[in-house]
Amino acid sequence: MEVGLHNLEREIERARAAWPTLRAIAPPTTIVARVRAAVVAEARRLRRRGRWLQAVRTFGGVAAAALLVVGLWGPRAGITPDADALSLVQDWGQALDASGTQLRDTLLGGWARGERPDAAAEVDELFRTLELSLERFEDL
Amino acid sequence: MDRSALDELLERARRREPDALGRLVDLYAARVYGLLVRLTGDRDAAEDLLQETFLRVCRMIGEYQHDGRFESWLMRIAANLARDRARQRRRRGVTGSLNDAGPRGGEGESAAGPSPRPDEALAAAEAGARLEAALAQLSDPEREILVLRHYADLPFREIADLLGVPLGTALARAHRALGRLRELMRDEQA
Repeated sequence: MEVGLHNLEREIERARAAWPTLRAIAPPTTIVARVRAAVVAEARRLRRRGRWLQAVRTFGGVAAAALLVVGLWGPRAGITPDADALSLVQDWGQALDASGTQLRDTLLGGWARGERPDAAAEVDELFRTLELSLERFEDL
Repeated sequence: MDRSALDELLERARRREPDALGRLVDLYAARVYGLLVRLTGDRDAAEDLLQETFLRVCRMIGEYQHDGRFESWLMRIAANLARDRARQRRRRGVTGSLNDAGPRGGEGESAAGPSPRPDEALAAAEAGARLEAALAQLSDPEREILVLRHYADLPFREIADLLGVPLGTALARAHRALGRLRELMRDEQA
């Protein structure tokens, strides 16, 4: 089947090769000018629309973020937060900060390069603080 | 236009730079118009479709994956538009003919490539005119497939895809059309 098609195509191409060249038929210059003007105008319109869509996307993102904030905090505005829960959140935030600071100090202090003999104890303390912070968070 | 210049032009056109798209019109309008005149058999329709073709290019250029076959892509757009028009006309019961599609009062006709000697040019013009006349006598589907291959230079696989037929059908149609064209040209010479 494939061979048959290939042979047929070759036969057609051989016959076609003997054809004279079809003459070019150029369009009137006024038509080319009209088409060119229409295409340039369309390109400008599409570019303007592209810029506008870009602006809509950017401002849409900002608007969505604003709506999200309103959605999260707006309905809760009238609710008084529980004092214990608030305190726990603050503790958890502090513990997380402390563990982050410890991690940074440990790494910057050369633990990563094996230059600190007490590095293992520091890392243990770091993970203990982190676990503690997570436990507190679970209690909320 | 060399390959790298065309690549750069197409890249600018993809960014929808108006000048670049205008330049594509300058470069390809004649080729596209020639195809449309032969497919529609109507110069006024070809003029309208020429504009629609380039407007589509302007809108769809972002989808074009440049693989060095921009002209084929362009010709496919034009051929599709010509086919849509033919379908609409068939639905409305309108038929057309290629017999009146020759240049109007010598306007707009041009020869492609380097200028041959006058006697060669005359012989080529006569042969081209015979071919044109024979093509005009073919049925629409027969003419369409030969013009797409010979003038638009689309490979048969792309033509089959464009016409929505299997490759074998496209080849068989082209084969039949060529046979008929040969007969017509022989009759005219006799």
